Amino acid sequence: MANFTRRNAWNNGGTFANPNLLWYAKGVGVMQSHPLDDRNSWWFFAAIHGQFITYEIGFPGWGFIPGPPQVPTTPLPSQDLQNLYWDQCQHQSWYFAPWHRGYLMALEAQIRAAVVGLGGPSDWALPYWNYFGPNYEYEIPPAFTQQTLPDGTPNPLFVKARHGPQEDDVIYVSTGANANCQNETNYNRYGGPRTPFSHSGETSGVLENNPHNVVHTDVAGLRRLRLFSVRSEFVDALNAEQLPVGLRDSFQERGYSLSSQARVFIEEAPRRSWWIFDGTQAYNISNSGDQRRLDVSGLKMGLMSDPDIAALDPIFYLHHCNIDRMWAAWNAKGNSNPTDINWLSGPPAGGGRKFAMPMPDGSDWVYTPADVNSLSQLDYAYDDLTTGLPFLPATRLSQRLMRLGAAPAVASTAQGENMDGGDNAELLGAHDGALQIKGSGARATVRLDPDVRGRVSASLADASETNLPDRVYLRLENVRGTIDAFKLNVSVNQQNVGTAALFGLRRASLKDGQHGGTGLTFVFDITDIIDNLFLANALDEDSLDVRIEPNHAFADIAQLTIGRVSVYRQGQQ
Amino acid sequence: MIISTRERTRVTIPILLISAITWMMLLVNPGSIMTLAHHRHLVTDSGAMTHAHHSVTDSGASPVSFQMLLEMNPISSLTAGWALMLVAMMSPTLIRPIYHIRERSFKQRRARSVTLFVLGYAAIWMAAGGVLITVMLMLNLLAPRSYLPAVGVGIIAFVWQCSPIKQRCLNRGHNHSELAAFGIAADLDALRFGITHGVWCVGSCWALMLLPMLLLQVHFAAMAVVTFVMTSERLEQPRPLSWRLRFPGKLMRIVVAQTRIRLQSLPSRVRPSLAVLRKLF
Repeated sequence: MANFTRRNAWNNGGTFANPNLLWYAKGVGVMQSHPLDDRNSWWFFAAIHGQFITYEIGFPGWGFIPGPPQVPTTPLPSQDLQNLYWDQCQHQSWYFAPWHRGYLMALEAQIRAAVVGLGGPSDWALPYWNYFGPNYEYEIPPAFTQQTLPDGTPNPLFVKARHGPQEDDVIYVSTGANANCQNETNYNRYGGPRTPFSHSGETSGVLENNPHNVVHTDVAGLRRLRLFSVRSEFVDALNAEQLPVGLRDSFQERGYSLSSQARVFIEEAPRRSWWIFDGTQAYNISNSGDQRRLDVSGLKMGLMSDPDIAALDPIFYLHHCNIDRMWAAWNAKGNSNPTDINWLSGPPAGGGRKFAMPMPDGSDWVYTPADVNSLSQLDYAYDDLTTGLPFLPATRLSQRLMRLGAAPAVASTAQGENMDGGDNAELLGAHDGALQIKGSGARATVRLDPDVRGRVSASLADASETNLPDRVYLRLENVRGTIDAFKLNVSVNQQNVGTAALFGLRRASLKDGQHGGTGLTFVFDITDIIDNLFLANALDEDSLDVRIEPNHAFADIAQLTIGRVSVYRQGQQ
Repeated sequence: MIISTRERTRVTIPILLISAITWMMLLVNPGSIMTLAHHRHLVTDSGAMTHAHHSVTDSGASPVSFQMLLEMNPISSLTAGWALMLVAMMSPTLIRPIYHIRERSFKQRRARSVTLFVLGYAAIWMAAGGVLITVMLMLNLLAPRSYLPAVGVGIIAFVWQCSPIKQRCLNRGHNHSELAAFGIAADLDALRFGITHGVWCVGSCWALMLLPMLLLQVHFAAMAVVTFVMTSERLEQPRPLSWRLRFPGKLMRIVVAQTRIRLQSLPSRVRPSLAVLRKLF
């Protein structure tokens, strides 16, 4: 019997009338009162997820985050402590779900200790934000938008750098987020691909891709403020006094006047977007494409947009609590976690770092996925494992087989489908050449290889319970850019296939980052679209029409590129 | 989409086998193909060569002596030996990029793309080999039967190992970028990938590769150590550029961890007899 029950943050209207939220706020306040080098501080815990503390150029460096909260950058803990704890978060990896489960448990223990120290309930547990719940639960609980607590003191849950999906500081989860991931039956597709220790990886599982990434991006959002535009022939005449103080100082610190730098920029770097960070504001300078105008804009991004600052926002933990709840619900429906010893043992099995968390009693908790494999072995439970989506994988496969003219599958077939990925994952088609994502979007014609297409057709034609049909996936490969706070809506042949939220993009694009600047890869299941083409006798088309549209018209500034758009078939045998 | 364990095995096992076979060839040295590996032994250990050797050293590092050294170590043998060294030592580091190429290529093009990648990669290393072999021969002329060249190169290799340039080369080696799928563009991309990967690989490993060529009695042991270091540091993830001591422990950690896992997964009746072994890990 679990000692702690995690409950819905929207209980009692999601306000401070919900005692779980009130005590959470007070606990966060206690942790925020500790210095950065204190293992039990809010800042230290945020750095465990990821940190950008010593980045001195500007946002998202911690020293450049507009408060509240006022984020410290000193005193730094010892290098040994940093090496043990900081920059651990697992993304684009099969460790995504178990690492975050342990992280939440440690944070929950810290908050609980603080709550008990304040005279609060000893069974306090972390609330979850079920953005798929009824009524207005897709909105952030109001307790997070109040500037003060009921007693009039500053509210530690309030964060200035949240802007929402519509650039208006209204925080909610958009309709792009969904719980379709819960229909996946294979852990590697659900929780992430097999990787070593992966602080930044390449390809996410569907749980991480949506809703995890989409919620991060929606909550964070960004706002762009146009400061001024000037035609190139007037650049030299710009008066420094016309500039925002921060921008002017930034130029001067670099030894430039605006006019000289802007002229260099315009003449030598056409179509380039250049960023300046002045401490509180990000400025973008870009030419208009015709090289005759200089646009200067300010941009503000939310904390939740980037893994290295996301855990500074208290809503982060309620979001991840819901992700953890979804994983638990997925297991509760009979889906299995990996039994591979390399997953159970965690990254040390591959020579990588161990998962380690500081506990409130001063001890280190070193854990593996095997230690957090199931809620039944842990000391907490959820009051509700409903995720807002009917979960009928057997029916789904049966329906597919029947549509293809075969007998329906039994449940055991559906559960066992493709546990090792099959032996026939192969490239089906591709759009050669990089795509640049403009504000107006991009379009790719994906050519299909006739031989491979024939194998897909044969697989669909011969589909049966013992000869499961191919599944087909669209991939956006090597997606790179400079800002995480964008989403890409993707469609194939005018049918929406999903949303790619670019959480983690900046880090994955760094040439000296964990994957050498390989970027992110997004995978979408387009099996239904291919089935429909097959049933309409239209699978003999030699290409697919893929459209990619960013959620903001000014996406140009993020310098988003897609290395290749491709389509893969995956045999199920 | 998931890549199956079988596909991973399909790449890993053949490459490791190729490396192992090449190591055997180097050790057995059929037909004295490994002149490069043994030329100093020939020069110093063989009575027949002693006179020639003295002639070389007595005349100093002149074009004539260099010519004599080349006669004792024909270019063809040096090239063949260098190529074998590359295959033995470098092929394990190519598992990930080859895996990347296979994943990104049409099934019917996989072998062709991998071949082009390897050709591009090998071309860079063979060119680098020309320079490194020349350096080795020159050092032999300048300081025959001396360990000073090896010590000097060892110091250079150590400094290079700690440098941010080395880290940059290692980091770039992790960049597995996009590859075209169709036609000549696919061929060119595979070749280009091999060349760029080779450039970063040479930048990372040139000093380490030179070291075993200068060590006389412990040539193969040095090769093995260098292979271990190179493979291990490729397994490490990219890091920020800075001066630092890099301990190549990743491969050892993997071996230890996997050994421990396998010991633990043995049937219980076997395990007690392996208790001593487990304590070692």
